[in-house]
Amino acid sequence: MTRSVPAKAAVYALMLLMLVVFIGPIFWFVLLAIRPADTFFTMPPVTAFTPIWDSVNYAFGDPGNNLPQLLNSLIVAAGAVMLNLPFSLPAAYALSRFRIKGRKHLMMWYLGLLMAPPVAFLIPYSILASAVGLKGSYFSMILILQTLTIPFSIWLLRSFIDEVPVEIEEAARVDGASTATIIGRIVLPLILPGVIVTSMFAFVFSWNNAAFPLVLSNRETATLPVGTLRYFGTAGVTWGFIAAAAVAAMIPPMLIFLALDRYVVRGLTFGSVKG
Amino acid sequence: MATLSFQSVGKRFGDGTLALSRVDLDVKDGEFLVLVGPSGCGKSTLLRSAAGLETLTEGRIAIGGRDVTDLGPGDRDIAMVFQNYALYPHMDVYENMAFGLGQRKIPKDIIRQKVEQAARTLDLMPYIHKKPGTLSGGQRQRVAMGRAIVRDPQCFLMDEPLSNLDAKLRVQMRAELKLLNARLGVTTLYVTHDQVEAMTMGDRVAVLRPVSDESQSNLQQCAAPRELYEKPVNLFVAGFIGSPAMNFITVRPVRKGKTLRCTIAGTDMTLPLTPQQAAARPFLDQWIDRDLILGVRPEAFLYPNPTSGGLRSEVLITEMTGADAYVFFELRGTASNRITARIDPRHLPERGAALEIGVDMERVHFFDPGSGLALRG
Ligand SMILES: Nc1ncnc2c1ncn2[C@@H]1O[C@H](COP(=O)(O)OP(=O)(O)OP(=O)(O)O)[C@@H](O)[C@H]1O
Ligand SMILES: [Mg+2]
Repeated sequence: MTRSVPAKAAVYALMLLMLVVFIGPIFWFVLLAIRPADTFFTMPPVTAFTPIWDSVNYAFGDPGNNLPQLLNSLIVAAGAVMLNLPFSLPAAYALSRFRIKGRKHLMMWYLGLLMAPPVAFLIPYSILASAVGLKGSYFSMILILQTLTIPFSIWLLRSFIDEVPVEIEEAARVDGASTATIIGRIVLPLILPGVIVTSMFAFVFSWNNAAFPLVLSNRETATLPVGTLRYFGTAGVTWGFIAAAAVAAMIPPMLIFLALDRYVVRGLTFGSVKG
Repeated sequence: MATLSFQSVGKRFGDGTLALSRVDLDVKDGEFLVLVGPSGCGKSTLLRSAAGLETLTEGRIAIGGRDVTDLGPGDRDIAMVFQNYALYPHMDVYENMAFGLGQRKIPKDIIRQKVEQAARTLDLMPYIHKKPGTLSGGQRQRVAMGRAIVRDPQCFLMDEPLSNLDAKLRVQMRAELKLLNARLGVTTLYVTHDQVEAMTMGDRVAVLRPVSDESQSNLQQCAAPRELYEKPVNLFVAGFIGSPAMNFITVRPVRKGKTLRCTIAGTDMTLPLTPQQAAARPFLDQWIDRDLILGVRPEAFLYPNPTSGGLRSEVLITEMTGADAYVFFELRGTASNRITARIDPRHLPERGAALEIGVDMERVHFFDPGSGLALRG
């Protein structure tokens, strides 16, 4: 396919525009974290300045309020992933392989859970957590995050299991393997890219979630998004601190995607590459 | 090694499809029995029932005299070879073959011994640590075979194991499989829809057909290949076995003095029977002046025609395969009848030429048009 020069130029211009629209704000935010306070909102924006690390230092060094929150986020997100798989994998397997009555409705119901605004659940969750004495604990957040992670994990894992030819499992059954062995030694290794992709999404969704920890955490267990939001409550909005915390919150998801991108590609094209 | 027997087996799927009904079949100890039939006739379902991958709605299945109807696939001591091989993609050749033995808690050194022996038998040693994805179709097929033989099962169940191979490899593997069966002597139930495969490989061949209700049986006939070819029990088997297929012509026997002849409906063409031929078919007396169906295999035509009767038509096309030649023609008066006759290539007529061709009444079959059953002396 050959394109004329003006058409090519138009395509590049469009791509550049999209880049600016998507990356621009992030870039601006990164700069916000390291620029002097008097240049925050000057118009036209000041592009030349000496970076200062006051905001970053305040957030993560001294007094470093956001540092434990970074750790809290990690605990909650990793915990959410670990609690997620033992439940979503067998459920996905059952929904893929067994002709369960109302299977379609069940899948729709799971998806429906994702559509519902989390704020709708916040009050009842909070009351329930208080009632059983879990409020403020990591576990309460990890548990509630499952309402987000389990539905889409089941949905995603199921599509991976659907791709595994059922004859392979039948062969294993004839070979004398139990259902647990079949899931553990045949299905799981075959859908490993899918499990990695699913875990990655579960981690990132949990990491980014602000609404649940906002209500369920306490001062000690607050996560980074909560910490970021708290700056809005202080006297005068401290943009530099917000930016420093927010940029720090962006880094782990970015690193995860970079490290595992080959699994994302493999995972999302799983069905089309099998021989 | 053991017998495998199906006793009035029936299977109706959850969606109401009746796949199997009234199947009675005994595979003898060490026998190679082939299931053949058109698509959807229940071959795979019958095989999968034997494996325990489908649960029956009727009847019993026994292996070596032991009723296995209610046992799971792992407890039946059978091995299965799937059409797409169903190898474990994440395991290498060795692990694929060892998996089943490992599930049976067999000591590691014995597993190694058995797997390596099977790998040598099947020429798989050079690929023993390769993954299935890197193997050719023929090699994968052999791994699937190896996975079956290492287990020393009571019987082998194979569902179209050669159908994914190209024609040349298929012929080669056909011979290899047959040899392997002769060497191991394992009872084998083998599914194919390729009748050449069925006829060349089977000690006996069972012909199945789809059923529409519980009063029918899928099983049409189970016999040695030669008997199946020479003595088909009904129109279905007669039409299914043999390529090109048997020709069916509606005829009416008439008696004129001492001679018996078959007239072709709506024409003045007749096919006379010699006194001996008539004597060999006493049942024809009951069919005088009534329609019945005459079955003529392509090789039962006589050309040039030495008989006093015969068929007259015009050559539609001819086909030359080398050793044989085929003539295709329509039978006048019986519009739908397209006839295929095998003739000596030295006498190949021109396309469009007038054709007069005889029928060897010694080798024809007669069928009751109502029931479709073969009529025999
Ligand atoms: N799981 C199932 N649910 C419902 N109907 C089924 C199922 N499996 C097979 N059938 C039906 O049962 C009948 C027999 O199928 P089967 O697969 O045994 O045929 P087959 O002889 O092996 O055909 P082919 O030569 O195409 O493999 C068919 O009508 C098929 O549609
Ligand atoms: Mg089949």
